[in-house]
Amino acid sequence: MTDSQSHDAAPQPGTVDMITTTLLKNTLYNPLRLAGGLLLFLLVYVAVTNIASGNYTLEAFVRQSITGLAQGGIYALIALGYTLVYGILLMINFAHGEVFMAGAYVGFFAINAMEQSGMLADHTFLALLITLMVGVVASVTIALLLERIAYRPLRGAPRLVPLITAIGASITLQQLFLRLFGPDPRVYPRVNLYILPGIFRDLECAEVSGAQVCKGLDLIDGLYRVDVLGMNLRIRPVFFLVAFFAIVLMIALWFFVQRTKTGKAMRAVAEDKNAAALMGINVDRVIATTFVLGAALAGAGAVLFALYNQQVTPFMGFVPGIKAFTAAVLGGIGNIPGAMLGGFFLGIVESTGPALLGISSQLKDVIAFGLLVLILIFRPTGIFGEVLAEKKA
Amino acid sequence: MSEIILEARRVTKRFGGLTAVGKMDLQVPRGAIASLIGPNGAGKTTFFNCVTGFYNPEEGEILFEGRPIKGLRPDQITQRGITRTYQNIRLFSGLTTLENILVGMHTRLTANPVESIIGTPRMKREERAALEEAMQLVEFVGLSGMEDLLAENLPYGLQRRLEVARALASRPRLLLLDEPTAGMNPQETDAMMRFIRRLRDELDLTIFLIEHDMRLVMNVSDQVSVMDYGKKISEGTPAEVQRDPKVITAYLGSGPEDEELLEDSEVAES
Amino acid sequence: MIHKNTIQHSLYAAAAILILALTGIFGNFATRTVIGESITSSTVLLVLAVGGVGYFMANRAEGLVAKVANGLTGSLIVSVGLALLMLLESAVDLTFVFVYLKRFPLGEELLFGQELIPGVLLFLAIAAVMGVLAGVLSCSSRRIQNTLVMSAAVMAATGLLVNQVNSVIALPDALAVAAAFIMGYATLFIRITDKIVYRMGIGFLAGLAVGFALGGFIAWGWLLDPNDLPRILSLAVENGIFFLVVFGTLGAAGAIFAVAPANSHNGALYVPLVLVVLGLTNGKRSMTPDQALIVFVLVALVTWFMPVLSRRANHQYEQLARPQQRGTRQLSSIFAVAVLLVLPIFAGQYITSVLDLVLMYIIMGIGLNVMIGYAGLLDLGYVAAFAIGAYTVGLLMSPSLLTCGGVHPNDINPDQIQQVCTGVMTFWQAWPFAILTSGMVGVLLGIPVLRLRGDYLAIVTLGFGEIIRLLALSNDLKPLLGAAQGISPIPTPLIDLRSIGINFNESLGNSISIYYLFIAGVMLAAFIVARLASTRLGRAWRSMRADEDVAQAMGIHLVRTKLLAFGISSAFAGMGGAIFGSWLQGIFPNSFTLLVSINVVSLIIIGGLGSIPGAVVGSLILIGLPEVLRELQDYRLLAFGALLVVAMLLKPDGLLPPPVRKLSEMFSEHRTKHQPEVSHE
Repeated sequence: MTDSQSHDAAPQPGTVDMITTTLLKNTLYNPLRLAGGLLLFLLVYVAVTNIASGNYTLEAFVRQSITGLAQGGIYALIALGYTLVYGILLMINFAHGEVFMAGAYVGFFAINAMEQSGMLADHTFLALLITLMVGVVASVTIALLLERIAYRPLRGAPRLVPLITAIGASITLQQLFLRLFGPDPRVYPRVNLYILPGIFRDLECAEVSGAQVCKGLDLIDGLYRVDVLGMNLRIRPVFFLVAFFAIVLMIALWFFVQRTKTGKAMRAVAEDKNAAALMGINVDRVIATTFVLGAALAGAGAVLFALYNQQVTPFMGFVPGIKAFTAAVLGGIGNIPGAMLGGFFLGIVESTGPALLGISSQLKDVIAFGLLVLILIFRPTGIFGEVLAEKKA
Repeated sequence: MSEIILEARRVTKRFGGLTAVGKMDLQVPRGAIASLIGPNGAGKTTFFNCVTGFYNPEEGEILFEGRPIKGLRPDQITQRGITRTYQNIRLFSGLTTLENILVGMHTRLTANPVESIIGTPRMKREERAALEEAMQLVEFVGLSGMEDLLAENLPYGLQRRLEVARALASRPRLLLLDEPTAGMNPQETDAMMRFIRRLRDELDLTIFLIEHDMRLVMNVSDQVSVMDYGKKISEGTPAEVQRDPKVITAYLGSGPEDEELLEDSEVAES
Repeated sequence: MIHKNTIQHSLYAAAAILILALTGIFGNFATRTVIGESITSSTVLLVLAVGGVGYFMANRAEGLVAKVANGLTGSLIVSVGLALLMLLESAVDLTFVFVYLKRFPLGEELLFGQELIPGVLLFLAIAAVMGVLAGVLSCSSRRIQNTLVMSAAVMAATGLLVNQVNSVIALPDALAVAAAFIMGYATLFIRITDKIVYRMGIGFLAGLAVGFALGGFIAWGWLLDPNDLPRILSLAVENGIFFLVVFGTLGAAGAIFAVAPANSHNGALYVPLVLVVLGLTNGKRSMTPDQALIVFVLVALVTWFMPVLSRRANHQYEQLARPQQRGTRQLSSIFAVAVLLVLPIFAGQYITSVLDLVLMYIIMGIGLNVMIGYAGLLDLGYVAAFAIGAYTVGLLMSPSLLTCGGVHPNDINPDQIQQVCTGVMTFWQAWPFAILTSGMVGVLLGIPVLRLRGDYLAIVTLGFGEIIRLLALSNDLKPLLGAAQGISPIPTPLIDLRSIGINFNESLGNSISIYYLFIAGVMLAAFIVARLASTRLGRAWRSMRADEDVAQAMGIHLVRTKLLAFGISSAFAGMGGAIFGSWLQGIFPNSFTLLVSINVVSLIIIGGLGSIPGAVVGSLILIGLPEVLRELQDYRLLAFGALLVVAMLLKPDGLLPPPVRKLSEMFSEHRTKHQPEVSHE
């Protein structure tokens, strides 16, 4: 790290000379990047030999990628909340993982009640919609309380202070849920939501009073063997549903931020709170809106996650929370599509990585954090990040 | 012609497509008070940043006392004998007046951490001498009685003086002052003017300053260089520069910059 | 008449209390008695909730009537909330959602053994009385309020702790020690302003007199049965001269604190009080009502007279000449250290093990202060360095791949382990390695993150901490690190001085002996960090924290300075981790969770960033308190989290922020000391 003060300009394109210089600068003259590069090379080498030796098949890769896609979708939904809040307040909302957890928990009580009353079986789609709404409302409530009680009074305090508060809030929420609802995992009921019987003619068929009735694709609980290109895959439609949902919500959020008046106000506040206030923007309200948006996405993600993962515990939010922050950094913090891509990227790398590198899956979190470190070495602004002002980095 | 202490040769600094400083040539003679003036955004502070190593210019060469300093880190350049102050005062908040000055002495102190922990007599002597010298500096810049105040609690004008004291603490041979009178009223500016002269005369320093206050520039400078759009457009004694038509165009002709107009009227007054 | 915010804020408070009630807290706390059989933690909590809200609301109003009205409103809103919840609970089964209500139903504890409806009415009536009392209390003078609140708090705390600290000191011992100290302290009322030596002499004689008197009384059989004396007194009777000296010294200590600055005076004055309280409850499982009354009165007396006494002591201190003042300060810290050294002998294994933990966190707090408090680098992965210290000691002190020449100990015939594993070290050999390794890893981990600041640094270091733990846990590294089983057993540190001709061979195998190792560690850490902080490197760190660019422009080598912070800070974590490993005689990856890092960061921030006393106070509050209140363990982490939030909201600078360094005073002091030589310039 000889040039810790690397204010090197963008290389002038075109000249071979420039390219060599840049190359040298990034490798030989910069031992850190050299080491990072060597590590990357080593990882790629291990992965390639693993594939070449036949230990790792394309089939395994695709199968793991699909799992990773769903996990990534969840990360993406949480990461969007981090990115929004960080973009505006420059603080890591450590309790965001707990906001996610709260959505899943309260959603559980809703869906459980509907299961008891039989509504879940009779009007599955409506019941799921209600669960989703309840989860979102729970997350939003918690986030608003957090913002009002713990964060708003500390605006303008040194940055360590809100960070510690956020950590404290995170522990408090975890423990509160533990003391209120107990340490045993709550289990979401199995939900069968059949769709498109017209297209999936040969799925979930049963003899009903002599006639063959096919219900269609089970979107939530289904598990189907599919042979594609000679690969034997086991596909859960819910994984695609999660990914699809994440993308739709992200696009909606992006339009909200880019196109609506509130979105513009949010961007203005992110740029300069004081100036925005002078322009007649109610900064408090905009910040609260930001928390609401982030929490709503997290709450929706939480219910989806709980639908296929089924188990809900008070501690379920913490690790996904941190991973999602990693995803937000990967994508360049403050960048909405970046956060989503970062989430998917992290989800897929995490689930394919261990087998690809031939290490135990205990180390998948190491891959996530290792990735974060590598990214911050090579591109501190994230893969898709814009150049940030120094104060943010 | 006296010896040249600082020499810039064709220094160029670009930010993306924007050339902030382009092929800048400049010489500062030892013992002089040299000024760098120009409209806002002319590249003056960027040039300072190049000299102090905060930016690494793409092209050109910077020589200090005949030795190249381009590409060195800021701390290495400070060690060579150049220090600076900032346009928007940047003192170490949370540190007292004395501590700020002691940080300025950092390069001249030699005690390593092990010595500090053991508390060797040599280290104690050094610390005591440093404290003594810092007290003298406090007195020199007129901050007596405020030694133990936190820097951020000093009044504005005194913060400027503390910044100078901190810069002096490293015993530089070249002192760069970036708009030393920014935000000051005429009385304070006069005091600063006298202070700058005193610095040069009593401490045997070369002073290179950026300034918008023309009265001060014309009064104290031995040499004035004018920048516009990243280039040097004129240089000479205050009188020569004042007569240069290019300078007048730069200040008056290139756009409705009220502030510059005002300052130009000050030139006319003096 | 009713303050405009009273109703609103009472409703908020009621909501918070109701949520707590739903966790079954009242029933849970009722299992632990505080005073007698009927007053339980639950009662204390109820008084805090209902009376506390009333008191808080009453404090905003002016005049007796308004205060009572506001107090009553606050208390009633909270209690009506609780009453409604009780009614709801009796009507609907809430236990599916709120599982703890199954074991600890709300009603049982709050209804005072009555049926539902009369019980609720009685509850409301009592709450109303509390509200009125709160209003009246808030009307009295500040001094009365302080005294009452303090006494009640100490009484409740004593009741809570009796079960853990009931074998510290016997009442006669406590009274004897307190008497000697107070006799010396009585010199407060003698006017001797010139030399503290005289004062200490008088104190010494006073203490001696107490010793003589007690000895005499016991010898004549007036006071206690000489054959059944508690620890200190029986030793005193057996070994007269030595213990006369001890009593004299206690008197002298009392005399010193009679001329001490207000803070140390107040602290010292609570020591005999605590001793007597501990003596009172000695050997009891819970506190009886009459003991509670005595504790209440004692604390009330001390608190009531504290301002007067403290003003007088402080005044006398200020009358002293400078060197005498310094002498006072030094002597009082010597006495404080002496108390620390004898503490574990009395406190017993359990309390000492809590203190060990507190001390370990103090070491780490001091170390992490280098990173966060001085250099301004937010490290959330401090546990990594801690773990590395522990693992290094574990690997070097037991047969492992490292010490057995690359062969796994399981592959070696157990009879040959001694011959093959020649690399096994003693603790004293392994300790420096642990410190060094942690420091070096700290530097290595610091390199990639040099350019990162603030939150990015926090999250990356957090990642490092998790990576280290996951690596330790992973089966891939099992041959070396033992995966989930960790490394055990690890021998305890052994002090063997026989080789240098002293017949001393002691294994630091229990909490009490390891306590001294921790104390040594804390002193070393505090000394080193204090020295560094006040000299060149410390100033470089602090300037870097304030403004990195300007610091560099002032000639500070950023890379070197940052890496030194990473290294030194990590080395202290390694030092603590190494003792931790050999203290527990085993290392398990699950001891190295993120919570350790969060604990350390939180304690230094709550104590005050960059302040060594802050680290001590922070550790006592965040580590010691929850550990002692272990029986309320279910709520430990909840209280911890809430404390972090509340502390940041109310005191963001921490409890003991570092004082501004008055360098010019040191300078002038030095000048006056050397006046004859320096004369004038």
